Amino acid sequence: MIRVWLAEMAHLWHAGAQWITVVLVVMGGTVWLLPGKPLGPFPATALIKSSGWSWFGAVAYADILDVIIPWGAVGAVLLLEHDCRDAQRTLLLVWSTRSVDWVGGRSLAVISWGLGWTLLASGIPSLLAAPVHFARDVILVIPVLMFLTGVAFGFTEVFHDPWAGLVVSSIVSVLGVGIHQLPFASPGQLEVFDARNHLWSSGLIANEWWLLILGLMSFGMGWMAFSFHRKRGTYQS
Amino acid sequence: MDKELVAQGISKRYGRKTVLDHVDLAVQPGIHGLLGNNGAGKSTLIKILATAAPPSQGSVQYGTLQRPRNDHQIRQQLGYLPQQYGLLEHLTAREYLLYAARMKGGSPKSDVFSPDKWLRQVGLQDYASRRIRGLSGGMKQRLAIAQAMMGAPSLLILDEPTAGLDPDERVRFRNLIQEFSREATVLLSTHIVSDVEHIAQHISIMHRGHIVAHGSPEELANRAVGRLYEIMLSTADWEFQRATWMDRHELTHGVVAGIIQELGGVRIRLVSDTPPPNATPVDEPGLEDGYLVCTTLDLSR
Repeated sequence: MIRVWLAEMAHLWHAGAQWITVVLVVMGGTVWLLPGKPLGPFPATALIKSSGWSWFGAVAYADILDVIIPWGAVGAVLLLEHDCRDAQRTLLLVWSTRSVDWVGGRSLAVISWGLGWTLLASGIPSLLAAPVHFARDVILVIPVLMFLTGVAFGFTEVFHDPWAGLVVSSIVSVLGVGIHQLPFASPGQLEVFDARNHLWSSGLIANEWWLLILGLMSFGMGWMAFSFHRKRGTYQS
Repeated sequence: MDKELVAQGISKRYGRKTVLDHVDLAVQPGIHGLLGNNGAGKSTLIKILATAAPPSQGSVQYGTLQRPRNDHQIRQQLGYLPQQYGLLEHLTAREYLLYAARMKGGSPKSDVFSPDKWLRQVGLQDYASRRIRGLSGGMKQRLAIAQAMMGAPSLLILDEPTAGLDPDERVRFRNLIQEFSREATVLLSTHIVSDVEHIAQHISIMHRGHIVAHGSPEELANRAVGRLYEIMLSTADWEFQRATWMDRHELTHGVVAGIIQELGGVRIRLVSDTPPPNATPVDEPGLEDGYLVCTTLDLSR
């Protein structure tokens, strides 16, 4: 699994994923620096109360942190998963990598890639605006990242088409405006956003756990789909 | 090393269409050619043998390993060049082979998985740092051959490996395969007779989803002994008859194997069960003549 992870990380780098990182770091940095002080990841109501932002502006801002930045990790999934189209996967299927190692290695690659640039995107600007708790608070982004990349990966593998992964992850992102509230609360409820002010509250943590579990299940679905298609010879028909 | 690849009773159906119909094949160490025209079912059979697709029916065994139970172990000993493949075009040639080495479970530092070694073997050492999308079709084909040979697998399966190679590259490829086959079982599928004529120890001929003949190149060529003829026509006669000549003769006598324009006339080579009028027998048929006999005359009996 480790060698697959290494290979996929190199693959990602050469495939141009560094540009995604540059864009997202700049974007994340700009967003973080805008209020002039370091923020936790999801401070919608805090913005409304303390900075006098409009509800729409605060939610939109929070969603940039909540959804759009982690959703950028989907780009890495799609870059790697592009190989399931055309005949690109033919060789990969007959190389002696077990399906579980392949899925594990590729999943690790996209997750570590996503985490890497999320840390960068949050860390560098936060460091500029110290004092910070960015490292600890960025942990809260991990489940979102896992969930979105898992969904993109899983659905790409099920339909062996990166468009399926992109479409489903986009729908999930749009439906879950403030995706931290999925799957339990409606984004329209104020108490939902109140959770953003209590980053380590039990309600928020519970949601994070569910997202993490759903993310892992999506990667599991991807593994089952890959094994199924490999055994069935779908890519070879 | 002394492992045999054996396929028994292989059938493959796509819906109602049967592409392979109870195919038996035994591939021994050395080079085994799989010869057949386009659409004969070669690539389908190759995919099944290379663990890339399951058969609808039948069994595949490599040594003591059986498909699908031991697919992973078979893949550890397999090098495969599919007819249609996609290389990761944004990588350089060296990066791609590095990727392949890791995916095959080898260390790029070891000799058999060294990207530089295999780039040299296929003559791409000067293009190691060039992105694949910038390589010519022949270079891409050589890179794909390199990934198949990387790791020195004991079983090498190549589907139309010379497609896109120029004459020099073909010769180089044949020499490379011949050297490689000293310690491996090589199955080479092609529709070009010259690809296998001088290097394969055994050849199987496929036609419409069946293996219709197998043997050494000499044995298969000998199928045309006594059934190969030549007819000489003057240029004037040929010009007069050329529109209908082939149809008439193929209908009544056999299959035209070649038409050679020569000074003062045309020499027509054909295989036939009965001597055509004004024809002279040819004593030394080639593999191409034997192939034509197997896929036409013998099947119509």
